[in-house]
Amino acid sequence: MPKSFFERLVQELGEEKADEMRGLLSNLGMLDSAHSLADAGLADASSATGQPDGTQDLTIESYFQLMNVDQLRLIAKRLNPALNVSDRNSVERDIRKSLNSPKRLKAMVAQLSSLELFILQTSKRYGGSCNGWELIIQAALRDFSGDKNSKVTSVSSKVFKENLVDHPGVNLIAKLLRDGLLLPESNQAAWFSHYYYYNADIAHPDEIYVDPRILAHIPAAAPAPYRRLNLKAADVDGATLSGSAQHPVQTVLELNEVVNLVIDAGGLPLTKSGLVTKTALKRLRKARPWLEPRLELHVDSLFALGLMQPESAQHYKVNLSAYTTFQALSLATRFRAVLHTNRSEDNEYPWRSGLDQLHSVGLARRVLTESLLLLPEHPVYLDDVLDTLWEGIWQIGRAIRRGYGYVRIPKEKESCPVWFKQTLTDELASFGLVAITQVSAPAAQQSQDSSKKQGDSLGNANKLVLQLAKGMAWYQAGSDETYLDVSKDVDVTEDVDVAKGIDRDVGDTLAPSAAHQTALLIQPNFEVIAYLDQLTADAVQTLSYMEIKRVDQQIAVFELSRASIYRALENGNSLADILQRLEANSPGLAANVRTSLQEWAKKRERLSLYSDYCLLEFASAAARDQAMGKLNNARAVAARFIAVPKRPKNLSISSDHNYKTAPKRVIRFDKDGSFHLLGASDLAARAVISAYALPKSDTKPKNDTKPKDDTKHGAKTRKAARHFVFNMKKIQQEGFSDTAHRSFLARVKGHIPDAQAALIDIWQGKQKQPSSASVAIFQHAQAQALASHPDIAKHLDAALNPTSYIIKQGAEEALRTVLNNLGLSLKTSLDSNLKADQVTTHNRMVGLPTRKMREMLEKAISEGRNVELKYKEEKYIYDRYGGSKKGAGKTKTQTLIPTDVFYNASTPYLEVQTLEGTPVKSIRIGYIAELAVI
Amino acid sequence: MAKRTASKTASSKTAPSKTKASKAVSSKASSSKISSAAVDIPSFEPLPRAGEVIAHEGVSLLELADPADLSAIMVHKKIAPHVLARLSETEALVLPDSRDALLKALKQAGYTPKVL
Repeated sequence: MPKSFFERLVQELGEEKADEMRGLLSNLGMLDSAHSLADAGLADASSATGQPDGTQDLTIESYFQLMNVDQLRLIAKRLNPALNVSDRNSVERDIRKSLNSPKRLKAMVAQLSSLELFILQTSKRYGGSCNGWELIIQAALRDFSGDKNSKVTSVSSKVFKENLVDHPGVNLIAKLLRDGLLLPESNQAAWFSHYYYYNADIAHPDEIYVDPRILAHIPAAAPAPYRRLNLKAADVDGATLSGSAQHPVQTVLELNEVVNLVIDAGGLPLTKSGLVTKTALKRLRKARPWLEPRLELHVDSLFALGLMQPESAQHYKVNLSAYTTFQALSLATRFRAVLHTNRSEDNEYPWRSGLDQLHSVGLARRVLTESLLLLPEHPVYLDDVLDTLWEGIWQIGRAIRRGYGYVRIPKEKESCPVWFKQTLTDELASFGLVAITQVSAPAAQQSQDSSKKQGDSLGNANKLVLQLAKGMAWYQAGSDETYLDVSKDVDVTEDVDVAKGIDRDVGDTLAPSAAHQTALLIQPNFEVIAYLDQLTADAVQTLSYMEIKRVDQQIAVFELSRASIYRALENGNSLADILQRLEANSPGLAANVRTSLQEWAKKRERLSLYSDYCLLEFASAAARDQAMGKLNNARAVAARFIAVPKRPKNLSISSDHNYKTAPKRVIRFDKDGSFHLLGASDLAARAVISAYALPKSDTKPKNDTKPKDDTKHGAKTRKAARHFVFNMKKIQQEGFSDTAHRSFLARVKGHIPDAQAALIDIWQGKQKQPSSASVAIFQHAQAQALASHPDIAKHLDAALNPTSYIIKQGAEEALRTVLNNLGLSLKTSLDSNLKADQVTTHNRMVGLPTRKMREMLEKAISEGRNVELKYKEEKYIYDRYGGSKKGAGKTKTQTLIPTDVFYNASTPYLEVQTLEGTPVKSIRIGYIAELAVI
Repeated sequence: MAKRTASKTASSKTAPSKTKASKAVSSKASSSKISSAAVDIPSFEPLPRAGEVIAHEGVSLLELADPADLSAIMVHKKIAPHVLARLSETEALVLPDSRDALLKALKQAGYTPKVL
C-alpha cells in the first residue's frame, strides 16, 4: 500500500522535523490539513469560522441547527432506509440512534457508490478532515463514468440551509454533503451559493470533515489507481522529438540559488501592499541574469513555502531553520512543493487568457498538473490532450460564479480557456514535466483526418506534440498516487509506478549509494561539475551554498568560493561536514582546494559578531569574576562586563537598558553650557560622555543633598547629580564622530544651547574658526546716499547698518582724501546714538528687517511723508489639489502715500494710496525689498 | 585605494592568511594614535556603584582574534561609524540598530564575520 505524503515525510524527516514541515506546507494542498488542523485544535478552527461545535470532533449532531428538516430526513433516510417518521424531533432522534448503531452504519457503508466510498476513503486517509478541493481532484482523476451509481448530478434541495452551486467539481461531493456524510467547515464555503463576490480574495473555508463514527466504518484502502487515458499516439518518429525539457533537479537548484541571493541581499523589502519591491527584484536579476525567466516564480515560492519570515512589517528574511528542514526533504518532494505553490498570476487582461473563467489559479494549476498523470507514455497531439482533459477534468477549475453574488450557470458548451494551453506549454514545460515539440508538415499530414475532425485551426500544417518528460517521474515520486495504463491491459488491482515507465527510478535519488560518488567533480580551479542525473539530495545539499555558473541539460557548473564556504558555515554547517559531503559525492578533493577551504573557514574565526546579547556591567573586575561562576554560557568581556545570550534569572539586576527600544533622554544642558545626567544612562551615552566630556569640578551638584531614587532596586543615583563639560581637546584631536554625535543627540532632553552646538561644530571642524580684525568704520546719517558716490564707494566694504560701512583695509587715508576733495572731513569718533530712522533719502534702503521697516513706515505716516517702495505684490498660488496659499507675485516700484499699518494675523501690512488718489491697496511689509522715506 | 584592494581580495579565490586589505589598514592603524599596544578605551563614566549590576539587553558585540584587526576596523571609513565604543583590545560595542549595516559593511570590506 503506498504511503501517504505525510507518512513519507515522517519517514524522511523524523517526527520532529515533519511537524515543522507540516506547518510550512499546510497551505500547499500537499498535506492533509487534518494534521495541521489537529495541531491547531479543532475548537479553534470551528470557533474561528463561527461553527456551532466546540468539541474536538465535528459530528452530524453539531450541525442539526444548520439544517432544515428536509435535509435531516435525507440524512436519516441514508442512515436508516427503513425510516418512517417525518417530524424534526423524531428524525433527529433516529439519526442519533443510527450513528450509534454499528449495524446501521455498516449497512449504510455497504450501500455507498464506488465514488462515494472512494471519497470517504480518501478523507479517511487524510484523517477525517481535508480540503474539499483535494477530495474533488482525487475523485475526478479516477474514471467513474462506467459506474452508473456514481453518476453525479446537482442537488436541488437546500444543504445546510443554502443552495449548492451547479459546478462539475462541487457535483462530485454534492450528495455526500446533502446526506451529512461530508460536513463542511462552514456554509460560507465556495460550493454554497450564499457566497459573496467580495469574499473572493479571502481564504475560503473549504475544509471538509467526516463524522468520526461514520469514518470508523469506512474500510481503509489504498487509493484507486489512476487509469491512463487512451489517447491516439502522435504519428511521429521518436527521433524527431526534441528532448529540450530541462532537468527537474534544475528547479531545486534554482530555488537554492535564489535563497542564497536573498540571504546575501539581507532579505527582501516589501511594498505596503505586500509585494516584493521592484528594486529588490531588479537587484536579484542583475546578480543572476540567467535566472530572470523564473526568478519571480521562485521568489513567490519562497513566500508560499514559508521559507521567508518577517523581520519587520515591510522586510522579510530567509527563515534558515525552515530552509534547513526543507532541504531535508527528498528532491522529488521539493520539486513537487515548488510546483504546488499557489503563485499569484498578474495579468492585466485576464479575459484574454481565460483567467477570469477560473475559480482560482492555484486550483486550476493543481488540476492541470495532476491530470498529466493520466496521459499515456507515448507522444500525443496537444489538441487531443486539451480537448480530452478539459471535458473530463479541467472543468473542475472552472469559475463557480462570475460577477457580484451571481451563480454562474453556463448555457452552452464552453471551450477550454487559453490559460490551460499556455500554462501547459510554457510553465509546465519549463519545469520539465512535459516536452512540447512542433512536428513538421509531412509527419502531421498523416494525422490530417483527425485534425480536420477536431476543427483544428492549425489544420494539416505543423502540430504540437506533447510527451511526458523526466519531470513527471519526479512529480510522481513526490506524490502517493499510482495508476494503471489501460492501453497495456493489466490487472486493475496492480499498482504501476509511472516513474518506471518514463525514466530511471527517481527513488534512487532518495537513497544515496556508492554509485553516486561521481555526482560531483571538483576541479582544482574550484569549479564543481554536477551531473544532474546523478544528483542525490545529499549532493544537492552540498551544492546548495555554491554559486551556479552554468546549467545545461546534463551538467551544472558551480563555483566554490570563499563566499560560498562562508555561507555554508553561517548556515550551521561545520568545515568537517562540508569536507565530508564534498568527498562523499565526488571522486576526490584536490589538495589546494582542501587547503583553501580550511583557510577560508579559519578566516571566519578571526572576527565574531555576537548579536542580540545581554551585557552585564559590574562595578569592578572582582565583582564580575565573582558573578561569572553563577552564569551559564557566560563570557567575560573587557574588565567589568559579562556577555550572556539571555538575561540571567539567577542574578539580581539593579537597573537595565534595552537597546531595541528608543533611548531615554537623560542628558540635559544647563545655561552655562555644561550638562548633567537626569538618571541612569546607557552605554551609548556613557561612552560619549567618558570619551568626550569631563566632570565639571567647579560646580557643586544641585541635588547632592537629596538624591533621586529613580532606579528599581533603590540604588541612589548620585550619578544624576554629576555635571560635565565637553572636553574640547579630545573632540578636536580625535574628532567627535557623527555616530557619537547622533548617539549623544538622541539622548539629550530639550535642546543643546546654540553656543554649545556652534562650539561642537567648530571643534569637529565642520565650521571654520572665528576671525577678529581691527577695522575702520565710515558713519553718517545718510551713509547710503554717500556710499552711492563712485569715488567714495570704491573705498567702502560691507554695510554694517544703514548708517555705517566698513572701510576697506588700508583705504582710510584714500577715503579721507576723497572726502576732502569733496569738501567733507572725517571725524575720528563714532556717534553711538546715530540711528537709521534719521535717514531720509530718495535712495531706497535695502535689506531692512520687517520690524525696522514697519517702524519707519509708522513714523512716515505720523509725519505725513511719502514713501518710495520696491515691493512684491501678494497673490494667491493655487495647487493642483484646489488648495491655495499666499505667495509673492510681480515686483513693482512706486511712490505711494502710506495711510495705515495693520496686521492680518501676525503679518504686518501697509495700507497705501497712490499720489493720484487711486484706490487704497495693501502691501505686505515683508515683501518690501527696498524702502525710501521721502 | 584600500577599498579597491579589499574588493579585489574578496573576490580572489585563494585567500592568504592576512589579506592585503587588512595589511593596508593595519599599517595605517599602527601609524595612527589608536594602536594595539595602547588602545583608547572609554571608562564608561559614571561607573555603577559597588554591588550594582546593570543589564544592557539587545546589544551586539564585535570580537576579533587580533587587536590590530580591531584597530583597523575602528578607523575604517565604512565600518567605524557602526561601532559605538571599544571595550577592550579585541572587543567593541556595536551601535544599537547598526548590526545589519555593520554586517554588510564588514562583508563589503572583505571580512567574513562569524555571526553568533
